[in-house]
Amino acid sequence: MMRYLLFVSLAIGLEGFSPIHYVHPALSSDCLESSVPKFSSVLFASSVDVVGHHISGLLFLKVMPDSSRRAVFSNEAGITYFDFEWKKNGEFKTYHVIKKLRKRIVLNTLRKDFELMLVPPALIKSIEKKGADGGYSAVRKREKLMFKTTADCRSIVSVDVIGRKSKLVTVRFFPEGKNIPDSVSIVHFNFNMKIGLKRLAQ
Amino acid sequence: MRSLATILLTATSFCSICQNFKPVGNEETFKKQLEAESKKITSIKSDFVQEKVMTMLTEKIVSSGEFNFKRTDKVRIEYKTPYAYLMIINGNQMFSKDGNKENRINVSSNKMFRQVNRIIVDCVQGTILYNKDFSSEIFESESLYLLELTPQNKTLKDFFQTIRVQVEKKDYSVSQIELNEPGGDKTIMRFSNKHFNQAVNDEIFTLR
Repeated sequence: MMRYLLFVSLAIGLEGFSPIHYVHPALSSDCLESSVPKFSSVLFASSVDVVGHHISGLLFLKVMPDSSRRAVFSNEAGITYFDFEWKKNGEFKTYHVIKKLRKRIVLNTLRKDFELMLVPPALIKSIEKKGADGGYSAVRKREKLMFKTTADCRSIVSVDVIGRKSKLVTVRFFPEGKNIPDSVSIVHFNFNMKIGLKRLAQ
Repeated sequence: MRSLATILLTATSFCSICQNFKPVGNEETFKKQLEAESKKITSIKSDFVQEKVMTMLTEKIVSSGEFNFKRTDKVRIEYKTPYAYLMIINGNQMFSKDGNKENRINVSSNKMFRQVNRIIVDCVQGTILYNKDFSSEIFESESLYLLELTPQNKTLKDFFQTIRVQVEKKDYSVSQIELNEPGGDKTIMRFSNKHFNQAVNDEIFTLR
């Protein structure tokens, strides 16, 4: 996992040299929608490093028949830590969360981070405008979300969360161009937190 | 609809117990017998398959690996597929390793891990029925004993509704551990290819 995190760090450091496509051939708002990962279910090995603590586990994502999204995080021995749902109408529901995580700030951080990976339909509807660089922006309460997609609209390259003064979070999807990513990194800049996800064969 | 599903699941679960298992005649005799027979096992090496059942999502995550136990308090659980994860209990020390990241936990200073440690070691040692963190009911079928454990303290109740341990009548070894969560999900760990009382090197219970 450390090797993977190292790879993620290197990838972030080399951003300036990697070919991120800002211009979309089809200047339609459908581009972001077609870039959103499309899966019925997907499983990731997960590693969370937060202020000196390390937690590993499994993240299971599923799109339900009514197109709502579910995210279930459990440890390797199978114990569920949280089970979240993003409903089609934008409503968010917590089915289960262990007592240690039942803190507003923790739940909000987890919800907001994984929402950027799942990009539920309600979030796409909130897309405000397409920027001059070809990226898409949306407003989530006091934050601005900046989506970058590949030129062929096949996948999302990254999502930046911008606060009032600075960048708060970056989500990166690897490899570029693959609709369902093999790995994902979520890095927070306002406090020390990194999430690394590596897709597992099911 | 969800309530109906819950009722059906509960009914199905209850009926599987009443059809296949009946309460053991004398619980005290059984407890002593289990402890005595388990003491004859000095080491276990086995394979396991773990199935995490997400009831509401109708999905399963299946993983597998190798299990090692050495009396009295050494346990090594190594997940090999589809992910690599190692957990070692060695007395008061607990180690875990995911990828290249290692975690060392002093169990004696962490209540939660101390309880988890005790459950695992007690299950294998045959002393789980003496664990005061649980109330217990004991059932039997033709070939198995079923120990149904209900947590009594708040910390464990947050994680488990019940823990069901299946013990083979032929050798008093654990064949299956089922962890039932309050949200309805469950994890079943099945042991196979068991080898008892073989020489086991202490080194496998340390992180290298």
